[in-house]
Amino acid sequence: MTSTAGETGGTRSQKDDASRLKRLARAAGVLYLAIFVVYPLSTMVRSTLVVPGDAAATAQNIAESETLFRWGMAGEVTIFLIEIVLAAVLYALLRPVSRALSLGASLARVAEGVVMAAGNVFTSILTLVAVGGAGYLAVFSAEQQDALALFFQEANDYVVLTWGFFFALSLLLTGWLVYRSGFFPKIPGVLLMLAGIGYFAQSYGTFVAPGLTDVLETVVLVLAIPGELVFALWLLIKGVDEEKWQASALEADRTRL
Amino acid sequence: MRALRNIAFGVLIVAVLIVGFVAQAGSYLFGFTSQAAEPQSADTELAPFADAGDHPVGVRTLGADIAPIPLTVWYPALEPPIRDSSLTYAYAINMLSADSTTAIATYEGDAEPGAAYDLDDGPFPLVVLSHGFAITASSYGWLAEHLASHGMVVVAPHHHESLDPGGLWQSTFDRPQEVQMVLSFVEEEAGPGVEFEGLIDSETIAVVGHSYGGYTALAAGGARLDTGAFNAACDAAYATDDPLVFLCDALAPRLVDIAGAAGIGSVPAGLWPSWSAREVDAVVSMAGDAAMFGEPGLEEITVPVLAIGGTADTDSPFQWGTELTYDHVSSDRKIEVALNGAAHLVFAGDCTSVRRILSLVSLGFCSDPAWDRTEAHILVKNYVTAFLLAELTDDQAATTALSSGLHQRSDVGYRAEGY
Repeated sequence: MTSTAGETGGTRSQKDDASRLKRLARAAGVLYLAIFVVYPLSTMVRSTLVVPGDAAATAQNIAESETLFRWGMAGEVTIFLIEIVLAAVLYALLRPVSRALSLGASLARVAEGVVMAAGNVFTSILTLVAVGGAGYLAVFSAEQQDALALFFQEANDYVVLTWGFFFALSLLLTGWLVYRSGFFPKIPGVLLMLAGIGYFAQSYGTFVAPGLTDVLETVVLVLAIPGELVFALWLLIKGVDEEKWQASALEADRTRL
Repeated sequence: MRALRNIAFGVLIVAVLIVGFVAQAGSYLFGFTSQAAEPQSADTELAPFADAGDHPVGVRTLGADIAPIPLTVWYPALEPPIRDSSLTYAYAINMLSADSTTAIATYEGDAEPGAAYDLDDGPFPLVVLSHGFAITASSYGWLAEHLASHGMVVVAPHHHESLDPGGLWQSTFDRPQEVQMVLSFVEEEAGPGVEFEGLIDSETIAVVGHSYGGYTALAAGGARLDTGAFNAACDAAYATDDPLVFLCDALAPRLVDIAGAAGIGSVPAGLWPSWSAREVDAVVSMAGDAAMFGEPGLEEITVPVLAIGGTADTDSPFQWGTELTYDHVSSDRKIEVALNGAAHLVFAGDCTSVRRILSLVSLGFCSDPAWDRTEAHILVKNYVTAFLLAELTDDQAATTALSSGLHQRSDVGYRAEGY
């Protein structure tokens, strides 16, 4: 009887673990898809309002469409909050492969979120202050206030490249972990690593060779979307191979790595 | 039940993916291409007035707190700019509202924002530059800078309008009044001890405009609306499905509103009252609308006129704009320049950096069926500058050049009288 009860308890425990694992994978997929939708919407808002090089038009657009601009900021805030949760979820999912690399990937993702918050959101706040017309800004001429708004928005572009380094590192490590996992297929891993290479190319390339900005932006678009999207859909629809994940987890516990 | 849930789940994912892809594509396509490393250059050897003049150029914007309506002013400056390409202009359209611009493209300019006025060589003739319907004044910075470098002060009012044909009737009345307000403002500010003292000769005036700005310039030059002529033109346009029907649809049903705004009891059967209280010395209409004036209305113009347009223009058809203007103004001196095969927006801004979507879909903003934009702008600069120098400063070289057609080309039609 005892033996039977133990077996039943073990089966239930394994079922619970499998269910938790499935929920975790699904949560990661949902978070990834949320980023896939929200981030481009936020950047599209910026693209429509900011006129590169034209401070007056930029400041006027932002002042006249302040609500839209604030929604864009809200989107960015949403992204970095999602990134932090996603970092934790992916850490839990990929820990059996390598605790150290999984931690590295998650830390890089958290760093990306922090830079995004400290950079993109902050520069947008400063932009709003610049176009806000507060009385003390009267020490600047109208042209100078407009220039400030554009200055912060152009700085924003470089902040994107800065968090791009951390994001690229996170993708490379995540891709490697997925590739080596055995409980995910190898293809999403390869695609994620390619996405990481794309982001590295964009961030390094734009700093080193600004003339290639257009090409690099296209490269990252082509390389990044397939990797992240395939991985997100796999997490959402197929999840992880639970038996192999359990085996990896046991092995990791045994070796403490 | 489980099958239904799976279907709902699948539909949800597909919907999210569609939204995501659209957003990704939008984010990318609405972005701008980077500036071309080297600006396009073209040979100006045969277009002597297309070379920049001797004056450094400054630019200032006067808000509605200073001027009756916001103005951008390009002027001869005291010192050369600190560096080349000192600012970027947006070629933009007020697409969604009158207060929010959507940039189509950007291009570099050489004017120095806020530079000191050149009062040593002034006062300079005044050129009022009226932009196209819902197009921003900065879209014409390339031309304004050029004219300022040749010793003119270019004042561009920001007409308050959005890209809604339903607002065209209001602009039909507002624009001529706004030009008059600008002329009065400049005259006041050109007096002793005020903003433009010593900079602007407010007695020497030209009005230049593109598209509905061309209409505005013609109205400032003395043209008067004529209901009978406009209705006859519209009848002909409807019969042949001529592109003029766009203007007819927008204006004909609203003539009564224009009359109301103008304080006229009813719509005149023929000529309307003049809306040009102040006399101007010259008018330039670039792809300007003129059908609402008709022959009788255009005959009211007696000042020198340069009408320049593209023969493939379907927004302000050449026949109903440029050609009609040249054929019927009463001016002793007049010129018609036809850019063969050019469309309407070739006169608007340069397109050094454009939104990517325009690289994929040709909407006519930065592309032209027949003309390279840089080359067209060189010709426009050449003719407009020569004409204004001849008329505003009695420049003999310009007058001589105009009499010879400024080196005619096979792809440019040229007619002139009085030169």
